[in-house]
Amino acid sequence: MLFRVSLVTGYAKGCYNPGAMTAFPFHPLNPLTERTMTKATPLTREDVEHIAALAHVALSEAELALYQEQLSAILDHAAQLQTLDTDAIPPTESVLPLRTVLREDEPGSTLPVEDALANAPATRDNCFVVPPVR
Amino acid sequence: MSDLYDLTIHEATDALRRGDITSVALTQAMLERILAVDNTLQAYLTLTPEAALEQAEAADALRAAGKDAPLLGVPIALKDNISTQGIETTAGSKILEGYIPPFDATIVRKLKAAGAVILGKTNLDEFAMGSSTENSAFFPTRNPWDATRVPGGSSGGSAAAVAAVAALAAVGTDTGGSVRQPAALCGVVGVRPTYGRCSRYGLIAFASSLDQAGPLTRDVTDAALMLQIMAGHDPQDGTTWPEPVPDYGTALSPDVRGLRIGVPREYFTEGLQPDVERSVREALQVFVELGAELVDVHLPHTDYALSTYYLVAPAEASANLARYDGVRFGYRADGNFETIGDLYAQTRGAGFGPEVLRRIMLGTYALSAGYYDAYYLKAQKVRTLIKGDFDAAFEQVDIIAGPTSPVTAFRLGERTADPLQMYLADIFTLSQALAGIPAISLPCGFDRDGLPVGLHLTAPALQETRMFHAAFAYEQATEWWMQRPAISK
Repeated sequence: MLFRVSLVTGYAKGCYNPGAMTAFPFHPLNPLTERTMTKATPLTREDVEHIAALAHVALSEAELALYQEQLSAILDHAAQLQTLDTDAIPPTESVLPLRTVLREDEPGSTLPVEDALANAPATRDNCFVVPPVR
Repeated sequence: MSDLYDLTIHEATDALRRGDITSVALTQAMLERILAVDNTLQAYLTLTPEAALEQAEAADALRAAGKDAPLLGVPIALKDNISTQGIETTAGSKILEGYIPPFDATIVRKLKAAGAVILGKTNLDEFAMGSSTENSAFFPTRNPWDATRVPGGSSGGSAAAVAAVAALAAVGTDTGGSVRQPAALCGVVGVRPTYGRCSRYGLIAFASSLDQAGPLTRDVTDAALMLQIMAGHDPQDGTTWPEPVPDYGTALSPDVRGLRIGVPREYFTEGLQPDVERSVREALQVFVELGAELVDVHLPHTDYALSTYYLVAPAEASANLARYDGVRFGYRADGNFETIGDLYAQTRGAGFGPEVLRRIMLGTYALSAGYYDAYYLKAQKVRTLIKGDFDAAFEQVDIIAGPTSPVTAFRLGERTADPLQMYLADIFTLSQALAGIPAISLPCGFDRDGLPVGLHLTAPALQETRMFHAAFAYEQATEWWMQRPAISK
C-alpha cells in the first residue's frame, strides 16, 4: 500500500492553519517554521470507516466526521518523524535488558470459575453467553 | 478542626509508634476531612470508610501486640485503574462501571502487607488517557489551589487528594507523565520509577511498554518510603527488574556537593510560562548554592517525543483495550444482536469516551497493514534516538533538571476542544517515559496566581537513589513543600 506521507518544503509563515494549535506556540508543535517539513495526506471518510471496523467500534456520523478531522491533524503532526533518517537505527523493542523470561512450569492456584464469571453481563452453565459467532 | 490529619507518612508513623495517636483516630480524621473537601474537589470515585476503619482497628491491634510495619495504620488512596479485590475498579470508564476485581494488584498486596489503610479509589482520565482528569467518564476533579482549575492528569484525583490532605499519600500510574504532571499542578511530590521497577500486575493496562505505578506524597522522604514498598521483582510480571531494591532511605542526605546537574537547553524555550521558568531557574540556583554544578546538556530529539509517544502509546492501547468487548466484564450494549461482531462494536462505541476512542482509532491505524512501518515502526526507531539522548547526557552529568510542566494548572474546559493542545501539557514528561528512566516532580515555587510549579529531576535507569538524594537536598533547602492550599486550612 502507498505510504501516505509526502514531503512539502518551504512553508511560508501564516499559510498553515491546523486550528487552535497556534494558540499555544510551544516550539515542538509550532508549525510556523521555515525548515523543511512533511505533511501527511488527510484521512478520507472511507479510511475512518475502515479503521472503525478494524477496531470494532460503532461510530455515529458526527463521530466519523470529528475523528476524520482530528486524526488527520494528529497524523499531520506525526509526519515530522519522517524528517529523521532512521535507516540505521534499531527500533526499541524493550527498554529493559531482559529477554525471554522463563519460569518453572509448576501448577499453582487459579481463579475459581464462579469468580471468573462474576463480572460477566450474561452467563449460563459456567459459560459466557454471546450472540452467534458468524 | 484538628490538625491530626495534616501529617506526612513519616510523621504519622512516628506518632503511631510513640502511641501519641491511633490509626483509628487518624483514619477517622481523614474520612472527616474527605467529607469536608471532596464535594468541591471530587478527588474520589469510591470511598471505603467501613473497610478503612476495620483495617485501622486491625493495625492498632497489631501495634498493641508489639508488631510494626512501614505503613502500619497509615491511610492512603489508590488510583482507580489499580485492581483492588472486592472494591469496584472502573479506570474512570463507563465500560468498566461495576467491575469488581477478583484479585489485588501486586503493589496493592505489598502496600496492604506493609500495613496501609485504604481510604478509597481516586478519579482519573478514562483509562489514564489525559492530562486534566476531565476525561473521567464520571466527573472532573478540581485543583485544591483553585477549584476553577484542573488538577492535571491522569492521576488528578490522587494528586488533589494528597494536596488537600484528604489522604496521607496516594498511588498513581504514569504512562507519559500521569503521576508527575498532576503532582506539579497540585504542588505535591510525584515519582515515576524506572520502567520495570514496580510490578504492573493488576494495573489496568494502557500502554504496556510505558505504564508504571508511582507514589504521590507530601514530601520526598514519603515518596522514597512508598516506593521502597511498591518496588521489586514480581513473578507475575515478566518485565520487572530482578535487581534487588536498594535502601532508598540511605539516599536522603542534604549534601549534594559535586553533584553534576544537566540543564537541557531544549527545556527552556519559548512557550514555557515565564513564572515556571523563573521558579525552575531559581531552583537550579539553590543547587548551585548547595555546591552542585550546573552543566549545559543537549537532548536533540526532545522535539520528537510528542509525536513518538502519540504513536507508540495509542498503538499499544488499541491492543490492550481490545479486551473490553461486553463479554467477560463491564458494560454490554442493550439489544438483540445478530452477530457477536455487532455486540462488540455497539458495546465499544457506546462504552468508551471520546479520548479513548480517538486513541484506539489512532493506534489501530498506526498498526494497520500498509502503515505499520511508516508510523509504529518509525516511532519505535525514534524512541531509540530519544533514549540515546539520555544515555549520552548521563555520560556527562548525574541528574537532569527542568520544569515538569510548561504551564501551571489551567482552567477546566480550556484545552478540551483540541486534543493536540491537551497533549502538549505532557511535553516535558514523555521523553523519560519513552526512555524507561525514573523522574520525580517536586514543588519549587508558585506563579503570580498562587498556583504551584514543579521541578523535574531525571536519573538514569535504576538510579532512583540518586534521584531521591537530589530531590531531598533541594527540599531540605526550601519550604515550598510546606505550603498548603486554602482548602486544606
